[in-house]
Amino acid sequence: MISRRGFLRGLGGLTVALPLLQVVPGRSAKATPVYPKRLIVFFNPNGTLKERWSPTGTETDFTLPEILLPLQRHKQSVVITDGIDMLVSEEGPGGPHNRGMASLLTGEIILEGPFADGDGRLAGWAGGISIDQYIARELGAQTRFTTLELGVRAIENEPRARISYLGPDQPVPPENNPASVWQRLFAPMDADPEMLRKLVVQRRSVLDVVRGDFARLDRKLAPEDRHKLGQHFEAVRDLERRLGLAAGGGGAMGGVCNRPEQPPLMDPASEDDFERIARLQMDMAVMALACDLTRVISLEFSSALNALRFTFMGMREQDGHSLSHAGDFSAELQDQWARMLTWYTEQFAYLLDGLKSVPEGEGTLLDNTLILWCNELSRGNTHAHDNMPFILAGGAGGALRGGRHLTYDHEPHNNLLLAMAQMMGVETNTFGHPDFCTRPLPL
Amino acid sequence: MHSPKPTRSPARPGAAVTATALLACGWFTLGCEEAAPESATPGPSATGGAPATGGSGFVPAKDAEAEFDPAADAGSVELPPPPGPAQDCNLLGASDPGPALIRRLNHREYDNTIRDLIGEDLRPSEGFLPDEEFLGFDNQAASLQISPLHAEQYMMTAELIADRVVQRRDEFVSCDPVAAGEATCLRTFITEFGLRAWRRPLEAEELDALAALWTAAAELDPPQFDTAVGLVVQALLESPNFLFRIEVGEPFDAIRVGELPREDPWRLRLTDWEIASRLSYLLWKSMPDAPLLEAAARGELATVAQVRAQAHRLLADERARPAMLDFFDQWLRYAETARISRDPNYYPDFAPEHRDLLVTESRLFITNLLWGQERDLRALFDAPYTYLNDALAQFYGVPGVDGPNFRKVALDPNQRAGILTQGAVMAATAKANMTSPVFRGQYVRERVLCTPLPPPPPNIPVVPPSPDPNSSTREKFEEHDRNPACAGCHKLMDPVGYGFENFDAVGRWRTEENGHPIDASCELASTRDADGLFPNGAAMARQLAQSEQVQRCVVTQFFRYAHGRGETLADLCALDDLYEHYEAGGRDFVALVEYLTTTEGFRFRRRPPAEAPGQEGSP
Repeated sequence: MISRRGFLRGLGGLTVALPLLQVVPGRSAKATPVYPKRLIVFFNPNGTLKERWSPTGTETDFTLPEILLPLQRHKQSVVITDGIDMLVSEEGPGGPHNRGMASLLTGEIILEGPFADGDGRLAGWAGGISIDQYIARELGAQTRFTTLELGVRAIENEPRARISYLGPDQPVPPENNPASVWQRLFAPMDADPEMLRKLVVQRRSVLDVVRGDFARLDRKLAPEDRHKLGQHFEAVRDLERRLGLAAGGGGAMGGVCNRPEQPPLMDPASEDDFERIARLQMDMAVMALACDLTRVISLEFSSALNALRFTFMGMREQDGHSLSHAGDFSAELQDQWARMLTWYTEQFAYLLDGLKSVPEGEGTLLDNTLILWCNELSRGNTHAHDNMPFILAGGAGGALRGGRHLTYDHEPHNNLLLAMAQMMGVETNTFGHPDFCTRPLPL
Repeated sequence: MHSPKPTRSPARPGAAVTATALLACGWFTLGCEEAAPESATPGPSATGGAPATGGSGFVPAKDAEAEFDPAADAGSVELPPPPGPAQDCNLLGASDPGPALIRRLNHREYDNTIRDLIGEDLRPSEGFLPDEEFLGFDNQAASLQISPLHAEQYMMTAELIADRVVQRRDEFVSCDPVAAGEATCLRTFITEFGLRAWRRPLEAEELDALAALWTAAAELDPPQFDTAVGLVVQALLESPNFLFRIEVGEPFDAIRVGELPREDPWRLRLTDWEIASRLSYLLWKSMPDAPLLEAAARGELATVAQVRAQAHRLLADERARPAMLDFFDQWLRYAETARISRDPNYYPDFAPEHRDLLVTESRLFITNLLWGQERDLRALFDAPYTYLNDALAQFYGVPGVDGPNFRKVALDPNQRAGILTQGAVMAATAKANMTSPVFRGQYVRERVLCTPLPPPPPNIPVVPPSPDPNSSTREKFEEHDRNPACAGCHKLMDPVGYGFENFDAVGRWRTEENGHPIDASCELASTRDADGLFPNGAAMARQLAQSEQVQRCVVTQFFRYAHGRGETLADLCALDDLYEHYEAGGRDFVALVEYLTTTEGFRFRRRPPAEAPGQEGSP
């Protein structure tokens, strides 16, 4: 048995169990490290106001309008797109929010399911793997966490609050509580190496027996039950595979792996703390990449159809989803909506600041990261999926050149997802539903 | 999945099936659409929590475009018929018990199981990712998955539990490792603890695999026996055999289970062990206790009488009360009020402690209805009384209630009637700074009537005019009626919700808003037997109490909760049968629960289609 010293005092006084994996703080980088590529997906819901969002000017010499103005300092690191349509989101059951959520990162048609929704049919979960998980199959194999899903008040346990999927009908829920994220990622930095070595031995032995249980059960079960257990089996195998990574690999890519402060306990559903939680989650995301704990992260701000008011900005009357519906002649309400949208841009800029602050070789973490900023709608008061507000940022390890505003002619968004996979070094010629994927998006 | 036995055909599939695309009209706002109500974990909300079916019997919803013309008069919207009795149930033939799905323990079941397994109430799930919801319930097979992060959380918890067991080793290990021999004693421990953890005896192969951890323990910290015990506990608790309720079933001897012999290619009976778990997880939300496991070991959970006797015993136990309340908590959503936040600028005297008081009121009300003298569940919707203590009475402005103990208090029948007008329901269906007639109306449709709403308009621009900010809530929402794109659907929700406008977003009585007198006149339309115009919500609630449609909805909701899935076409006769017993028994809910444990769907499962050995390994 592992000695009880290994237990950490956790939330609510309950002792929490031993850390999952070891972090080696401050391990010096190799002589000529090869910095890996990383991916971040940044999501906020309910569409935007494209007329106050789209840059004016030429491809390389453009002016940022109101909503994107906070990106001014990162103008050379972003690629702003117009003219990409989410055609696949026009298919399948459910309302436009749910259809958009389901196909946003998967490029697949939403499945039928149990969730009552807009068109009288029942919306379900997404119909395929999402681009973050897909890319993580390649990038994530060498880190202690394949991916991280971080939420900022993405609290509903329904499709409208899910963007990441391991496969059809397999949503990956985000962790909305910064204290829990910290406990998982950074608490282990305290642990004794000898204890951790034994922990690996222990876990390997236990998981070996558990793996046998699946094989024994498989002989007895009906096919649909086998499928359900198959997901559990994959999760256990994933844990098992990562145990071997505890003793080596990862840790302080650029020598700037610092443990963030332990976040205070906060209510993840709080409107008042929305901004504080957003900052904490982004800080930990940046450090998780800097420490090479993972290479793929999604940051989900709230959820489609949210009832989130920006009380921390004094906006108490209307919630974001309501404001997204404001009619085009309701100038005052649309101004409020634009204030919220601009706030999201400020957060996006803050994330880029963080990535840029981590040196890696001659450049920074930002140069080695690809960031996708996305939304499940282009516009709230029409629920449209055409001319989506997609933005790419970062250098993607040299695969992406920033400082551009690109306009396409009704390009299906699967093409963007495909281009992302290729930029990240995944060899594939299609992504998502093949009917909606015609070529890698030229960038 | 194979088809249900074709001996009966529901005469009115659209009618009898309550499973429905209840929807939503949810994606319209401020004008047409409403965002989700403010609560920590919004449950069934704008888009969620709708009734539906699962599995092969999925009931196709009607074609949106064919059914709905946004410009048409709202009154002409064709609704699928509301739930009614199934027909042509051929009760003489072998019937189909419906789909049987393996279910992961949900967080509450997991916590309770750990508590009863080791005798410590650690509630480890408080740190877990929340359970996904489905049909408004958190115990549905289809939504309970295990993601990599879940698996990690289960692993770390198993390590914690293992440590606790090792510390209190003598309570769990019945042999003396020195006298009996350590390896032998370990096998004894595996046999005994394993039976409780997996809720069935371990097979020889399973026992051997766990016993092999003895060797692994040698590489870790001494003493080896304790370490091995810890590893065994971890392996047991991380196993799908612990985390899931796996039901394989078995071919059965008809005489033994008290059935008439008959040709029966469709069904398997659940084993006695599986029945024990079905009983304990339904009635206690936890693992079987020792008498239940002993009954299973003796093969005494085979007949209806045997199952019923155990169900009766479990329901008489204190542990059944929180378990039954869990159903009501989720079905009627009042428990969400424990987590709401209200904007202090609008409700300055609403304090955090009021949330728990409101939920306590509703829970006491229901508990007394379930276990008291007067058990007719119609009172759920029309009771002219509630339960208050001094603090809550003061909050409501009700005079003459002293002391911290809750007691029964008569209500003004012109103001309140039953659960729908209680503060916790009114608060759970409101927003942080205002009421929501849409949500309250949707709540009644979806939770109480089990009726579908018609499809909303196709995906066209919805640009409603901005309401006058100084108008009343009702006036703002009446914009819906003037906008033909909204009216068809909202006509079924808003006029119901208006009935509750006398209750503000924290559940208190009010007679005016922004200087406007409250108009709480309301209307129920397109129901089977509850249509009418009412002066306010209390009068409407009394009508709902008398409705057969509402009482059938009670049964349907409980069916979903009990079986962990939506109803399918195969279940129509079972629902009918449940309703008839419920009605005949004077709508005694606890009696309904007990009866359900004796039914076909509880004691049997479908025979899986791919039983032939050659078909194994298909995905």
